[in-house]
Amino acid sequence: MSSKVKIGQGAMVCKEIKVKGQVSFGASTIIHPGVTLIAEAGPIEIGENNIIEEYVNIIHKFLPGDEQSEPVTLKIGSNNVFEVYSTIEGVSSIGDNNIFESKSFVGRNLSIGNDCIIGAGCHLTSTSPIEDGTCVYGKNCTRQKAFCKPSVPGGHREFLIKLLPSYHLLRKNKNPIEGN
Amino acid sequence: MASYMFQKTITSICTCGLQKLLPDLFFCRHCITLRCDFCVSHEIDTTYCPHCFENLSSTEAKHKKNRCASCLECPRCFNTLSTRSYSRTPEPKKPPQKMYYLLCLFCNWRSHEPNIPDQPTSSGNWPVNKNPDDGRILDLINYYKSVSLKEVFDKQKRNTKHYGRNYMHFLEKFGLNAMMARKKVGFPNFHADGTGFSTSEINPAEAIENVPELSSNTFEDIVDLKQISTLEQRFATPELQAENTDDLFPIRKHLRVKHSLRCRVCEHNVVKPEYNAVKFKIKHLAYYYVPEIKIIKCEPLLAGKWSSLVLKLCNPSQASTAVRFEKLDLNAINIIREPRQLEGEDLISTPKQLPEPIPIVLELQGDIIVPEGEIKIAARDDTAEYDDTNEVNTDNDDPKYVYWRKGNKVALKFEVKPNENIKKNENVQLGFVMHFMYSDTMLHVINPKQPQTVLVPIKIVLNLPNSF
Amino acid sequence: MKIESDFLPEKQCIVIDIGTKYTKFGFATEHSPRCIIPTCCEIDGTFIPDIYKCKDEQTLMLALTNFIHMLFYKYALVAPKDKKVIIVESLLSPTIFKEILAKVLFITYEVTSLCFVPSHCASLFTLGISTGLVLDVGYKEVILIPVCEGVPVLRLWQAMPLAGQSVENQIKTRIDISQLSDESIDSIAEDIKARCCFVTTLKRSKILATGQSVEPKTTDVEYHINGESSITISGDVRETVHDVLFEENIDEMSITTMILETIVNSNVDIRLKLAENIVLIGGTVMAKGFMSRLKEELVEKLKCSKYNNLKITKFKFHVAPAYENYIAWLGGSIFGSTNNLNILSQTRENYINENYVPDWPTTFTRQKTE
Repeated sequence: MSSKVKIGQGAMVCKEIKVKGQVSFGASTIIHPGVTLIAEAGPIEIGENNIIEEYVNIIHKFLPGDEQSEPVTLKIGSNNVFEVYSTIEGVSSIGDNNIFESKSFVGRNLSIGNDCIIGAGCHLTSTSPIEDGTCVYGKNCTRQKAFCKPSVPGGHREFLIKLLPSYHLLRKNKNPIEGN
Repeated sequence: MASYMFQKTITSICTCGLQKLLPDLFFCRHCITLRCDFCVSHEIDTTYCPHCFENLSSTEAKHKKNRCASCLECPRCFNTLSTRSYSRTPEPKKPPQKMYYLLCLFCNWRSHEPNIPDQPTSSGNWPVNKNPDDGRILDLINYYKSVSLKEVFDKQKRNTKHYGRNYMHFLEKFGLNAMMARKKVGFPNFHADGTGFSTSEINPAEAIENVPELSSNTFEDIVDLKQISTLEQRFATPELQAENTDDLFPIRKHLRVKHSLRCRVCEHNVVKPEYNAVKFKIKHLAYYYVPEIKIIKCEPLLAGKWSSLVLKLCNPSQASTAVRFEKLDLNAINIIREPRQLEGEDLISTPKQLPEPIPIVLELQGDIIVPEGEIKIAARDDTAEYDDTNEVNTDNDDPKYVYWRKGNKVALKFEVKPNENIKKNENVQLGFVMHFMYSDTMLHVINPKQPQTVLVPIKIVLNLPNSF
Repeated sequence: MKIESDFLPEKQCIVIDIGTKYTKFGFATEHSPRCIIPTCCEIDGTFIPDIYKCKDEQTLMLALTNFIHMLFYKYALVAPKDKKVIIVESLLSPTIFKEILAKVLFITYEVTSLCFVPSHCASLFTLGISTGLVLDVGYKEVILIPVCEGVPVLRLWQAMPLAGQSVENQIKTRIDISQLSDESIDSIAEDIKARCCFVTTLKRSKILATGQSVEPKTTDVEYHINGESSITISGDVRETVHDVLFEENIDEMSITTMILETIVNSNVDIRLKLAENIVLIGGTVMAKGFMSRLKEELVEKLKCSKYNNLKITKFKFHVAPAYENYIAWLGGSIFGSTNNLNILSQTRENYINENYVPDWPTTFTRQKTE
């Protein structure tokens, strides 16, 4: 299946990623190597200033048997951070300023608001939406109020912008490459 | 590696009657017997903070209510809080000031929430919450104290002629130590005749008729479970028990202790940690003395049929040892095991009553043939591993029982026969007694002589899997 | 360093209140327990969720040994040897439990003295009164014992298995949480009880019992379980699960009638005093609206012919300077600060000589000093 990748202004997308389907990256978004993006059930639109770290899986697929339904766009807002090995599967929408910590898993039909933190290792499969400003943590996926907007240390982005190009090949825009 | 330590395939029965794994057992070198966690007395060696590892003396810990002075815990998820800083410029002309707040890296709790102001120092004099009822409880305590003291003095007045002139025994009984302490602190003393006791009159609590009604908002208010604390969070601070998560305050880290263990019978130390280090001064673990048994080969077990079982014994000690086997006699299993002792040792006397041994309830599901005769096992030699020749004298071994031999390890052949009526997929429990030669290498100050050897019996229980 | 009490006691005294669900633990003369922890332990890797349920003597002893070990070495951080111990216990606690506890403390842990304080009497210490109708609504059962001038009137005790656990059972039957495993059901039911439920008013409860709806309607709550699923707890369930405590059984007994029966059976001169000195202890009474509902129920029941001639017009409730779940503990702590502790405790020597635990803390068990 061919893939269509649209890369926004200033976005940095490493070459060693797996893309299937139509994916667009917003401005200043940083995609680390090893990321898998599967957009079978419709295009994935990733907003601005996101950081997607190594081995993150964002899978937008139909449920088996539902393949013929209408494609839906998966929209991911801005300023989100997906930490190493976090998996997003069939989520309906993701807002802004969220952090998905390492090895977290977010299941189907769950919509995530703004300013949320999904804690490390949290396995969310319920379909009740995660409201704005929620922090999910711990073994039992306890939902508590997040007391402030999650933030990424300021130097983090600049550091990545400086470092990533010197060790990895980057994808160029307007030159859609075949998915591997 | 760690998992085999927890598999209960081979357990030993401790002197107290509990079935334990070899790594969980201790070996008292004076009673020459096994001891476990349950049958040694625990003493508190040092108190330390599990986060900053600061050692505290016991009185210091007592004053601080067993809490660390510097480390704080998140009231929401009980992980350690970290201190974060930021700069702010209070007034445009002054230099920027560094301010600190607390942050939980796990659940993102922040100290801003219960309105704890940010502190200008990193150690932070984080406010301590007071029990709002402190005053009333203190009044009550003082009142009941004075009542009971008055009672005692009244009694004393009646009986005073019986005591003669020696009042020393009153010290404890009548709280005179307390009175001396009062004097030291500068409180007024009680009057000696007991008349002046009515110092703290107390107002008995007034019962109320107009009890607080359920507020009318209770029904319609939208409940945000994120805002309501769990019982665990409430009970972390019993005196506050905040129901709203916004009122949770950071908790000081609870301290922990290092135990030193002492044999209850002979009162010698079995384990003693070293101060301020992750080391031990004394560690008589059974693991260092008792040959370790591992199963290396077990033929499929069939009901009523003999099958062979090969066990590997490994001698962990620096002295060579010998083992002898015996069948486990279920009738004699609960006979009280008297403590043994070495020659020339002081008699072990137990002035105090010891906890009763736990009766062993054991059911064997088969028969076992154990090797006959004495089987020697060489001492552990760390250099032997680099020695290619590895010549071991196997001349005296009976090939009927000894499978192979290598360094301080020997593999022995056993025959097992499960009962006719064993169920499938159920473990077959078998037992035998292993006597091993313990050589006493302790330095005897009083009469230095040849190391003595004692045969120590250890009851071993095998739980052989029976699933195929 | 500021020492909070005026002086340190000569010897540290430890106060333990072993409840069926939660154990309160701390030092005497302190104003609140150091910890409130679930009464459970592990024996050789097997989890014992309820120590009181251990039927077999051997298991009970092992369970208590492990539990006391945890209390001393994890929370108190003092070796129990040569310490004084106060056990705050219900007068109805089983003798075997008491005996084994004494054996464990005296023989295994070598405490110097032990005193069993009845929880109902101790609770009055926190109020400074000596007469009261003490109602202990715990986890397993509700126990009512009136105390007159510091002496529990055992003739009038009442107990019923109507407490926190019955409320949790209501939750389990009325909310569909069956897809979960047994252990997590218990903790989820408890969590729902503590965080979502309250005790509604009598008026609303009556309407709801007939199946009609009331205004304003109580809001539903979305409850998340483990990030896997979420359930809706309806408003009706939230406000009516506690009603089981006030429902009369076939013998026409409920918490309300227990109190009234006790008052009816008591001597005439004490009746009014009991009705005006009701003390509520135990964790379940902390449910929102419990006290006002109980008062409403009592006043309502007074109108019925059975209790009409009581001549009681009002009921008064005490509010202790502590949360209800550790009132009994605080009473034990206050008791431990007085000299009576030394007089009423049983010493280790005495226990070893007599091999017997007295039913009541008495002076007889102590060797006379003369």
